[in-house]
Amino acid sequence: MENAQHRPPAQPGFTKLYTLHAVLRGRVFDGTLEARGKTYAVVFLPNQATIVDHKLVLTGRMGFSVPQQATRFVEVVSASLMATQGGVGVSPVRRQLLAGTAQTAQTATSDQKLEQEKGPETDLQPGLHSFESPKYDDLGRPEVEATGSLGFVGVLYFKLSPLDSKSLGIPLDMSDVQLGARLAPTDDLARDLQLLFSDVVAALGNKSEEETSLGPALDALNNALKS
Amino acid sequence: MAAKELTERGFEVLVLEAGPPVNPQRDFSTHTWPYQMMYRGFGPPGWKQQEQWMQDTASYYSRHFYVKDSENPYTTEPGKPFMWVRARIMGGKTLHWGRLSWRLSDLDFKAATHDGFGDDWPISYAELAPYYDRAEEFIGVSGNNDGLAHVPDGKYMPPMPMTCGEHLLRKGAEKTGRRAISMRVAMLTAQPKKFMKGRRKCHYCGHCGDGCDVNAMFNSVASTLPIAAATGRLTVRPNSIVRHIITDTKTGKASGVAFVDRVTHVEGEAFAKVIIVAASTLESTRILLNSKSRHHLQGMGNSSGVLGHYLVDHFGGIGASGFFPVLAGRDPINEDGKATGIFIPRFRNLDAASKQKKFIRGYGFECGSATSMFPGMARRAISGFGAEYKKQVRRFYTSPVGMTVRAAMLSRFENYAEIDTNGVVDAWGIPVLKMHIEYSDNEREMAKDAAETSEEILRAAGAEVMSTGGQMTAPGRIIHELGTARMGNDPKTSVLNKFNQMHDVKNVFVTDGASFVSSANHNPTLTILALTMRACEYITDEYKRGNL
Repeated sequence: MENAQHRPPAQPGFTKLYTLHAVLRGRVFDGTLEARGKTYAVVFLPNQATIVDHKLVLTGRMGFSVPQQATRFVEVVSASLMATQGGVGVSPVRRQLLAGTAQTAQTATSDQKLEQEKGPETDLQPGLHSFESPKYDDLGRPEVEATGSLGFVGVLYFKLSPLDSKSLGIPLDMSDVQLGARLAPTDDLARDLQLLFSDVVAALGNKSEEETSLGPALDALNNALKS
Repeated sequence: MAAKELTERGFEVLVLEAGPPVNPQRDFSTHTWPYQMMYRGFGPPGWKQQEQWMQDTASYYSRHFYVKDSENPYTTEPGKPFMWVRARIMGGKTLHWGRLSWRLSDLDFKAATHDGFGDDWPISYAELAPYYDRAEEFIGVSGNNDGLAHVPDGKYMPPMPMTCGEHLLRKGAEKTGRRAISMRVAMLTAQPKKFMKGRRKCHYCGHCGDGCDVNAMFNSVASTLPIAAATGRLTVRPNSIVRHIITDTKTGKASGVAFVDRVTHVEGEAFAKVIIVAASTLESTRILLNSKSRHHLQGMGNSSGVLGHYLVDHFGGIGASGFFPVLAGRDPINEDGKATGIFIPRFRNLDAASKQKKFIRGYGFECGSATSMFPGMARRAISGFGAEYKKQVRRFYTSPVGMTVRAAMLSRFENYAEIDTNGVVDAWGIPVLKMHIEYSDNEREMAKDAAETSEEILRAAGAEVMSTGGQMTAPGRIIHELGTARMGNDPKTSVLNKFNQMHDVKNVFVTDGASFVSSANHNPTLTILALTMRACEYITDEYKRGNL
């Protein structure tokens, strides 16, 4: 175990690792990385969300493991939100948030299942798909998918605090790594977190509303991370 | 296309491809049946959401034609998503493109003169027409000469026949005063010409998007690259991701490119007298924006400040679908092998009589009516279970009909791509793009009109309408991203001249969709090919004159 608050020196003998990719499952960001023929399982378990310099910062522990070996943890890793990618597709369904529980049933909404089955709109067989449920604006014009009230965040891009790969036994330079955190929920807690992250990102992007909406959104996010 | 054109003219050409080489025998799934695949070809549940969530047209058969979003990020503004579908493999998007091959007309090239919005292209239809001829004859396009001035005719192989349902829809469209014509698609419907070595006539298997193993559909792996290779003057280096263009510190001209090997991460450089950037609209613009130097402080070719701006896509998602009662219950036949449909060309804002009060420009409808391997309508339109459900599915799956809009988006300065200012990079450490794009009221009004009109046409055709309206597709979903390095006569308001040559750096040419001034409402590939042929002719002349 080690604390990653200080910046370890770049490791010139090692290939530089620029990006890590992980998918949110429950409240855990779950991914892998490859180094010299080995595949490492990577988990990031944030337990606190704060706003620092108008940016969302998640703090938590990060674990690395190879099969049949104990997981090595970095106890305090901070992940500072750099940017986001808006999600496209069927919007997650807003529901009554779970209060202090961690339900992780492997469920998807019926709309999400249909989206998976439907296939794309394509020139190959034009027009042979059903149209999304129409939604209209005040002037009776069709809405744009995944925008406005249908909008949501698809990926969060974080800058991780420096990781000392030497002590983790990973032959990569991990002094400056970006975490791409994909929000593609298949369980209720991840679904809640996607909406909470979306709320925080929207509030951060709208400075005039920040004072009124950011506080409650951040509180809700912290509750969910600690539930 | 540039590699073919230039090697044929005697140039030594190096092609840097960001993705792996393609091996049709290994990589194409043309005749793979669903029952030969795990999960009947749909892939494990949620597979696309893990690594390829923005690769909308990727199927489990063709997923290796597309990038992994997990390695190739980009960012967007909150609430303004953009779907960026990308191919990184030898042949690129030509391996799975929609193949629709329309010419633009002066209604498109001179749209600003027509309606007062934006800018005209610096070229006219007459200037590009000979190159459209050459491009159509080279790639092989099936279609009809329909005599519509705003959808100019060309050099076609026989059209693919309409299905029964498409004939019904065509008649319905005509009742409402609109034309419905055969799609013009880059597929061989007649015996291949002599130079089309290795290509065969389409046998209507319908799996074009999974890689066409007889090369009936045009793709660069089967068509342009073999011809270029046969000259002995082509070198191809796959897995080479370009970081930026290198600037000659003395002259400010481009001297080469810096790249990184996708697999080994080893850095490399290549040098040339002329650089052609054709990495697809937004990748090309990304390369140019990342090519900053003392001479090019805002990125190469960006002294005007418009590089990255005027980003457009077409929009879809709006239309109507249903079924023809007259076709329900008939014996099923193999109709989905055609893999294309019919088109209702633009009918708004062509002249004074069709001028609209609430929007400028126009849209067309891509339409189809055919049985398909999976009776899609059965999922949503038919409820129940058991024997009665199966009976209903069998009855109606021979009769579906649908039409969906392909509409112009106005080219506006405020829709743009830039290098992400927060420092987000891809898996090779290359700075990524951030997109800023949303529709204007013009597109929203056009969508409303299209929703109403599609239902009108479908009912006129005798169809039972089951689904109408829809939601406008998020920008990018139609995969016709265009603009961002537009051509023009004025170096202060454009990046390229009318020969796709950079105003600022004379030995750099951009020959993909980035050069478009406006989007029209037509698929762009044929125009890209024609522009490339024209640019290569110009390069040859200028090179001979010593001007490059």
